[in-house]
Amino acid sequence: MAITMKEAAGARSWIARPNCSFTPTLRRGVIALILAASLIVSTGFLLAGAWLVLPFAGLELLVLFIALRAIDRQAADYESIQLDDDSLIVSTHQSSVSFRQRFHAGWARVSLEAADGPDPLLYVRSHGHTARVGRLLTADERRLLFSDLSRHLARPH
Amino acid sequence: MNTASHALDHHDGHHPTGLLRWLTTTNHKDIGTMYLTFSLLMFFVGGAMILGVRAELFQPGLQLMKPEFFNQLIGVHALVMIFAALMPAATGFANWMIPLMIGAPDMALPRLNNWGFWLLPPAALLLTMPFFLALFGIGDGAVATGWTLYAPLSVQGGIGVDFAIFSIHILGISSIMGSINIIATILNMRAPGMTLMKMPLFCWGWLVTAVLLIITLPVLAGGVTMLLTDRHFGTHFFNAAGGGDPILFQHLFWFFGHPEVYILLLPVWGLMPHVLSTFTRKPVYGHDAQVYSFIAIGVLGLIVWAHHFLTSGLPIPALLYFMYSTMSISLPLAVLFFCWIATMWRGAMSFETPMLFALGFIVLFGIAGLTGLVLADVAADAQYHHSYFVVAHFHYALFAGGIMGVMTGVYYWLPKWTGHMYSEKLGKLHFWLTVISFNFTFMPQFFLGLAGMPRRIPDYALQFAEFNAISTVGAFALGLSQLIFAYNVWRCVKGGDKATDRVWEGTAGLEWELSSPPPHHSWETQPVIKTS
Repeated sequence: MAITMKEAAGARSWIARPNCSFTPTLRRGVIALILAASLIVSTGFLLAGAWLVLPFAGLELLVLFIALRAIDRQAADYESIQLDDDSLIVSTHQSSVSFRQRFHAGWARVSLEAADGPDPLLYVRSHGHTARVGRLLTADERRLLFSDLSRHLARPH
Repeated sequence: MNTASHALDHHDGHHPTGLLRWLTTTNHKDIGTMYLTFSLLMFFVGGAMILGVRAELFQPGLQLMKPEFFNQLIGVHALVMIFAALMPAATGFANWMIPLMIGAPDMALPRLNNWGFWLLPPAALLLTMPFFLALFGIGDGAVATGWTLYAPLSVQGGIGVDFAIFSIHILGISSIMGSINIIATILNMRAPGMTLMKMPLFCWGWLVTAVLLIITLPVLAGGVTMLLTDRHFGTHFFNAAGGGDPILFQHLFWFFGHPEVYILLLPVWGLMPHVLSTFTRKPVYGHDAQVYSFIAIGVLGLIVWAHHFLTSGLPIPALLYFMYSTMSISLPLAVLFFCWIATMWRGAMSFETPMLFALGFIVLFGIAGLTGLVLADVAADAQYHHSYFVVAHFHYALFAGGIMGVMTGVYYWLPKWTGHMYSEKLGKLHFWLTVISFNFTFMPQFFLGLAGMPRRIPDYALQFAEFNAISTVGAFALGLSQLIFAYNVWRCVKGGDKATDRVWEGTAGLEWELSSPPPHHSWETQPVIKTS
């Protein structure tokens, strides 16, 4: 997990993403290597009369493909908080589902529940609406984000 | 962020306890512990089987068992030791150590990890169940074809063959799940700054292993399924009378079977440089050269399979190809040996138990390599094939190279896992008893093979009696000395002197930055690798 903070033209944003060291080039290379090797081997045995190797290789590659797709989907997850003079926008993208909530910057309040526990919960609230943030962060990072957000929200808008 | 700044908080209170914890756990450390415990248990099961075999071979003539039962013990011993003891031990290491070494909070696919482990107990049960069914008059016992399941013998065998086929399928699925998980974890979850060429060699060894498993396991699965259809559905894949080819089964089996040797050994080869570096207080020599050697061995391992059946009537060009390609594996392997020795060269060496096992591994595994070269020679192999020379050779590879390598890893990492030091005195006693009794067991088998004693026979000519008696005494000493290992591990898990976080003086690597034992959820704060 990693959180980055950006500041430009009076607006601030915090973006959290899961750590992902599997670059697209590496991913393509690995898939191509395993696919090519499996196909060469199973085609060779197919030609030798052992055609039952091919369906097993296909099944295994399918499982590998599904696993890599699951990783792809996790890698695309993010959570962002944008704060400017007027608004605080919480955007989340998890397992291909996006969600966005807008709060008035002057009224939004941030709270940290079970702050000393192993799994503190970070919320943004305003006018009866609540957004839970920090799902991609560790407990320590949530505490840091809480103090950072509280400090910026406390400033006059 | 500094790697040392990791928060050492324990979050032990929010996961199930008791049996439910072990059934449902997705934590890599719990699953690693289960793999290692299962492996130790099956090591003793497989060991007990072969002690039965050695007891029978103590004297010429049939004393204790019928030849059919003798054959079953030999076949199931091999399958248990390879698939249920050695492979799970290496997977246990992977589960415990890869996330700690690369700075990942867990494996990439934790549920798959749980399923992968829980497939193992039913598979082991399937493999051994025919022994017990035979006691109730069901079937004629376990698989009696040897672990190679060669057709047409296996086509004609009893229900033990079917049980073995299904067991191999389940074990294969478990291995595939483990491999996919390890590939995904290593490639996707390395800490920022840890490029592939900065990755610890243990992870590299496992990455090549996982790729090898993915490429070769479908071939074994296809082969044993064809065997099953030949047995029950009227096909003739391996029946010469029906237009099939029994040699095809040997190609299918050994296309998996030979890389399997590297599958068992690559994780150990990856572990050795860490141990040698720690106890010589020097950096690993030739990290990149060892990585390239692992890859070269993996690639060459895929194209040399037929040296296991050079005497089965292959054409001359094929014999020459498989002889030379097999011999060429000694080149990258020599690079590994060179790097291991160069790591120790002029180092401030100390001889704690893991280092003793590492040194024992290098010497004894060297004997396996040299005798392997002899077996690769087509002309010489005609004499040695199917003799006790082969049995001795592959036990020097798989016991001295595999199991002693696993013991190196256990002694090296056990204080990190448990937070306690084991008894160094018992560890050293275990090492010396193991090395001496191992050589008493298997060195005479080289001479038995050279003198012409075939493998897999319950009775033998009188001329082989002395060496067989020595081998049997050695085997019982070897088996009993492993009880010291089990006791030492158990004692360490229960308590003992507190281990420091770095455990050993010369350690290097992310895993040693964590507490001993590491927190249930490790690397909650992402470490960053800085270029020095």
